[in-house]
Amino acid sequence: MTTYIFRRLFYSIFVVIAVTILVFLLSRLTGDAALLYLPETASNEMIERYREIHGLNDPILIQLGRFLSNAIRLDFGKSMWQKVPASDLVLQRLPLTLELAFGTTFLSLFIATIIGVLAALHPLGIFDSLTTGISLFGVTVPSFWLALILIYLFSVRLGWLPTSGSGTWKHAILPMIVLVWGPTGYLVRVVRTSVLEQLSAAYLITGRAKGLSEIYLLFRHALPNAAFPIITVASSTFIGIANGAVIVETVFGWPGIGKLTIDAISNRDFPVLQATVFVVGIVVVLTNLVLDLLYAAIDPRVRLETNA
Amino acid sequence: MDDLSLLELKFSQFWHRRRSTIADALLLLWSDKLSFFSVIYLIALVIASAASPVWVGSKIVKVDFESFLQPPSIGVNGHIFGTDSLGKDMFARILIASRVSLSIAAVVVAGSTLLGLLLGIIAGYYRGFIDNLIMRIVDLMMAFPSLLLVLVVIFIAGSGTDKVILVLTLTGWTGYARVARAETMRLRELQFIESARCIGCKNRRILLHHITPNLISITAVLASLGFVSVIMTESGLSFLGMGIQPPDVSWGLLVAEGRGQLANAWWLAFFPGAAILTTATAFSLISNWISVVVDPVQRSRMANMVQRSNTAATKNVNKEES
Repeated sequence: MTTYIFRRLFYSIFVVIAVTILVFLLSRLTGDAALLYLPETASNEMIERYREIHGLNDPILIQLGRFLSNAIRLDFGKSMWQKVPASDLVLQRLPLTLELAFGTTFLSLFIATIIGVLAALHPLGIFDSLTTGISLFGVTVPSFWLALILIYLFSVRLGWLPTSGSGTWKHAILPMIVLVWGPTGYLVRVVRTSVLEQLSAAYLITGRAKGLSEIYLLFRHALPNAAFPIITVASSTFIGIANGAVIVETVFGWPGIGKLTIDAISNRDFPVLQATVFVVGIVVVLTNLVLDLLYAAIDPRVRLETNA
Repeated sequence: MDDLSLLELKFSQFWHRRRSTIADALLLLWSDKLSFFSVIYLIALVIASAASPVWVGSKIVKVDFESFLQPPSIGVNGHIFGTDSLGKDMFARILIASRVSLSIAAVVVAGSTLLGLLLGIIAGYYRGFIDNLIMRIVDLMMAFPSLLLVLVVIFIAGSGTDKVILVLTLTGWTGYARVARAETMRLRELQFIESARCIGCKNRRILLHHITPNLISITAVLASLGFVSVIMTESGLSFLGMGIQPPDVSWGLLVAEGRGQLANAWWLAFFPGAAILTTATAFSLISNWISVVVDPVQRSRMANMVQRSNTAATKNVNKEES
């Protein structure tokens, strides 16, 4: 098992390195890198000096080496806007985004499992139509629009919930609803399909013949076997929010990674953007690793394969 | 089986063989009412947005302080979607904005489909090093959140219509490439490709005349869903102020404009967003119909089924009536 973890980690590190190199190349090949790090008002002398100090006149491979060795130490330079190390800023915002990501993932797993299982148990029933509806509108409702409508209804009209910010559980309700909306639509279809697949499996007939109750069959046999695709999709939901809650965080003024990204872009704060990409890359890698371990925990066959 | 029903069978077989592709497609469309209304809506939208500068263009040119921030109203002088803070008709503005939103979606979908097909077919057909190279790039781009990648590129390259098209195309091709590669790998092992090679077809001919036509069906379905995702991403970017820049307008930008006046004029943000929602829904609904229509085998089979059930239904009705 440990060898397996190490091998997986080894491969995933390549993804982070590749993305970091990509960001580096994008910053160096598409114009003057010094301009990316300096405010727009910088004079020519300032730009020249910046180049000298930070070695932007060196050959590109040497620059890349320096960039990577700094990246490993999480040193991306200082934020131009807040004058603190960029990675500190990112790590400080990360918990708030993870909070949203965990909450959303579990909530949408919960809702999707209930509706999806009911839909699978009664094909063509009301929950089946509900599944179709949710999965359609999960994709086609723009999240920023849904967010604005919820703010209008619950904050402006009814005054029940705050319009933006973070801190109390009340602040988290609206962002959570908007974030749960899309993934649930996708997840519910996956749950329905994979549970339906299991329900027609021969081992369930055996179980039924033995006289096991339907509830027992469902929870003890069908659901664990259907869990594979469900967990895969749920983990991509998590990854999606851990770095892509840009729109929701912006609308609700939730000070997480997404808001930081947008602020970094509108303030032309390239060090922060770089640090964000790197940290997010690590989160992606870790999530995938946990996912693989979960696979192994759920299904003994996976464990056997990796040991062999 | 008596003579008459035999004759009927013969006739229906003849009729089935003679029915054209378009007739089949329309028959299937009519049988699926959701797709039918989606297609009608999309056609109407495209015509209206193409005609909008002539049709409603005059309504958004002049600033009309007499009627600013009017709520939606129906009537000869009414504004069905209300007016904005300069007194401009929102319906007209949404139609004008649809030109940008729809054309960006069309260009990006066309571009990323072509790019994805090309790279996917090459990877799946030639395999080896080039396959590895292309697929590792795909893996990398899929492993990484696309919105963040898009934002990084926009930071460096700047925003604006042309940049949005470029960025969305360059990040959007991976899905098509993956599917095209898998299909190509399956097809190249089939007998008809082997036969083609035996009679001396060059790779180029096999790719163009034997592989590509077989990918059209699945690509068309992906493309109609691609419209949904491009419309959503573009509107999201524009909403954030990272996409389309004024004086150009797109639906996402209109929602962003309305955001500031949410408390006193909800219609400013509501209707552009509803336009995004309905258009995306329509594209997503027709994907099912497209998947049947572009596949010749499925198309005729489904059309026959629909017709048979229709005839059966009429027969039942006749029986009940008599």
